[in-house]
Amino acid sequence: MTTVGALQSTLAAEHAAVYVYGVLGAQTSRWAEPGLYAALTAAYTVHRGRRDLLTRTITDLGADPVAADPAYTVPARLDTPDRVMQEAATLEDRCASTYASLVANTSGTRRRWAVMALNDAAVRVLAFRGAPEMLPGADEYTDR
Amino acid sequence: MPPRPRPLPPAATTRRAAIGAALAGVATLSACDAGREEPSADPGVSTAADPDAGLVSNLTDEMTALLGTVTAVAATYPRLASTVRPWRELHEAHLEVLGHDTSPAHAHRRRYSGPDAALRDLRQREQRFQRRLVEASVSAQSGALARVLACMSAGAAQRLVPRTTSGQEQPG
Repeated sequence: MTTVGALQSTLAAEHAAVYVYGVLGAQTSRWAEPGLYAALTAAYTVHRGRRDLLTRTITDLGADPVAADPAYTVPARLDTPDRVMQEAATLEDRCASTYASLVANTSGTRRRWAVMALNDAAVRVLAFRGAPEMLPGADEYTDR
Repeated sequence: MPPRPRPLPPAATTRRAAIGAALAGVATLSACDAGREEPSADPGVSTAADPDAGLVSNLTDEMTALLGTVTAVAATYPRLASTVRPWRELHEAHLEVLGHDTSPAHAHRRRYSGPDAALRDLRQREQRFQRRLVEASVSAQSGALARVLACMSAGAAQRLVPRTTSGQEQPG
């Protein structure tokens, strides 16, 4: 995969993340679940920032950044905090895999940024799911 | 107990063969590296004259030493065995992925003023090594190896997050 291709894939993943976190936040009561709401809000802010940075980076490289889809599929039942947390954990797992792929297809400062984003996704998922992994983002090494 | 990673390479009998096998395995995974545009990220890995062989060798040495520290802490303070077990499992798993023999872990004898000091020392070493993995990932010539090292750094970062007794992440 080319660097621009990997950046485009990452941007597509961030478009999805921003959308889904928006839905998850809307499904969560700020007053009944303040901890979860804060975690979702923080995640939304981080992913939105990365989306914007990726958009600028791809533009600077002379390519057209992929646009967001009109909508993304989210589970129909998000009526409990556990379901919201499960979906958020799945989302961060996917982001970790995406950033791991970006690490493989970049170098220098872009790779460093991807490594830090992967680390962030791996740590962030712990707010939604308790168990750490051996190699977050490297799905092929773990029996899941 | 978290799922263990599958070993990347076939069992190797020597250190050189182990590293070569690990990198060969990583190379197999990096078949798509050839299309990268970034100049310093070489496509794939050649075990014949691999520019990352020294990096992997150093990392496995450092991991083995860290594993020895974990073993020493558990041997010195048996009640800490369950506390440090996640670190032992992590290093064993990572060494396995790099094709390195993980047993037996030599217990590096160190003197601690108590269990708290031992844990503090271990945590500092683990923090340093986590940063080392980040730097190793950035400096790796092979994109596939960089990816694996980045994932290792992420696994270590997860274990450095302070946890509550319920297992949930703790702020700060």
